[in-house]
Amino acid sequence: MANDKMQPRLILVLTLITIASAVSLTFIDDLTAPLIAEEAEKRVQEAVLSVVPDAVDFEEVEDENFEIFKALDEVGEVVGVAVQHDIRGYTGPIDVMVGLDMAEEKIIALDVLSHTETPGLGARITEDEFRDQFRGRDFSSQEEVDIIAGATISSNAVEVVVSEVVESAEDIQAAVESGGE
Amino acid sequence: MTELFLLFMAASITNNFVLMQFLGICPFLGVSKEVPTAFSMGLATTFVMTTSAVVTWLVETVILIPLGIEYLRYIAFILVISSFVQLTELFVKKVSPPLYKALGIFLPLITTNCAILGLALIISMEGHGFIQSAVFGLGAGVGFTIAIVLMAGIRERLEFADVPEPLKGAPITLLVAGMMALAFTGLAM
Amino acid sequence: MAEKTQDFVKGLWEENPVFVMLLGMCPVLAVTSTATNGLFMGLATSFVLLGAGIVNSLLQNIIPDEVRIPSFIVVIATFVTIVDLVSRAYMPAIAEQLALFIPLIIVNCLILNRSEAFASNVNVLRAIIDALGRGLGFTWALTFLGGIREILGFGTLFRGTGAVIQVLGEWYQPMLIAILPAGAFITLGLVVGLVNVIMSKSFSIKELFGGSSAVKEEQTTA
Repeated sequence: MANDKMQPRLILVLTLITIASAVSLTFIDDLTAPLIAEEAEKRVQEAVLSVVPDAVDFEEVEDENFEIFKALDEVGEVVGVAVQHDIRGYTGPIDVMVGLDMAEEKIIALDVLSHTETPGLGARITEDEFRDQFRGRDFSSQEEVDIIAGATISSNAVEVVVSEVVESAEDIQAAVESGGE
Repeated sequence: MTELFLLFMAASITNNFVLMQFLGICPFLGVSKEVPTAFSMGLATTFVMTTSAVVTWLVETVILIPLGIEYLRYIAFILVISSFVQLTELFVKKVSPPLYKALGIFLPLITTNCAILGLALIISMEGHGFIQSAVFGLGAGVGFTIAIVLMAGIRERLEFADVPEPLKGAPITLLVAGMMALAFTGLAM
Repeated sequence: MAEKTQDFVKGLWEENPVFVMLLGMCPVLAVTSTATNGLFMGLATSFVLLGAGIVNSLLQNIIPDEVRIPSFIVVIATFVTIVDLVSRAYMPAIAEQLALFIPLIIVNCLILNRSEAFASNVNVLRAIIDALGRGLGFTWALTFLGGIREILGFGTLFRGTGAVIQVLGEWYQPMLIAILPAGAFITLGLVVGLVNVIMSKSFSIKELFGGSSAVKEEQTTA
């Protein structure tokens, strides 16, 4: 085993390696962080515009419970609200964006931002066939969503996360009104 | 309470670390020849998983996030886990020699068990709280123990089966694991 | 020169990390539901293998034996973090698919095994050649497994990239089990079994290519 003379050298070498590693990673992080943030922003932007197709622009609204985006058309009129929310799916969190038409009290569309569900089973929540069931769904609709065969948990999770958003529609609307002009 | 129970069941059964998420495959294949050893390995891993879940949660919440150095997460976690495993070894040796005798040889192996690092990363990704992390770690450990003990039970019997020559050893173990995974997939549907 | 060729070739087949050494099984099982994921995971692992091999070989006289393993782990974790950050910045779609298994390259026994048993005992050039050989061996194995599972489970190859190949036609009813966890275990089990058959004494791949006694292969298939 290490005698007393060796000890300081052990610690010194390990410390130096760790410092070198931390320094090089700080450098790499500085390079990549803006790109990663930009990518995440782009994902959100695409999702908002896909769940409120009439929108050309959007603004984020401050809220405690949800990520809310006010979707705007060319002249700055509010044409819908996009709400980002997540839930625990089967293998991990499922992050969705729900487009809401507040005037008609309908869901416009649904997009899945990220998930880690099983390919071929739970991952099918991203397919149009499943997502289209939410298109035009009334806030008050009690109709059950068709479950993907073999992926009950993932399908239910999406249904629950959407209804959580819809049930808070009034609060969301209030946040949009108070957070805007 | 219900939420914690569900988290526990998900980590141990429906989303079993070994059979559903492929975490901890090395010990699962390597230390599953006999039930008693498999059980000891399971216990040692459960202990390290529960405690390291809590410790890495603390490191993340108290040090990494406040300092804004989340990108050093992997290095911090792996260092914490390996030193923690060493400390556990010393501690168990001192406090309970019989327990050390039962678990001792498995402890060093646990550092490179990807289930431990995987657990820490999942907790950080899903943003679990303190209590949740402990329950999740315990559930994952119990799930690991269930999988490895079941596998050892089957392999003890396989000893007497007439396995084709090329499938002896790892291949037949993998095929058995496949059947087990299928059964666990059934539980989740 | 022969020695160096030997270093490289070993990892491809004779000592293939996946099929023969059974190292790094977690990613092998977890990310091979498609050929794309297998390929990318293989390349990411190869990069870490190469980086850690070079650094650990250069530092072999500086690092005292007592802290060898912790030092190696720090070096490996550094390269893994680099892969993780870079892939999230430039290839977000694939990075998201592999999610957890990129950071888990740190505890891939293959890398620690090469640093510990090889790179830290030889010069940099040999460490590089060895890392390239093992990395390529790991990559082809993962892509191969991913390919089998993807063809059975989706009927395609390399989905998720711009160059998806539709291998099986519309008539094919995808075999779901191939892409489920169970399919991972079963496919790997059967492929390792097959490799055992090919590697067994009576079936020599060298003889097959050398043509000296190719007759023997018939014995094993019988």
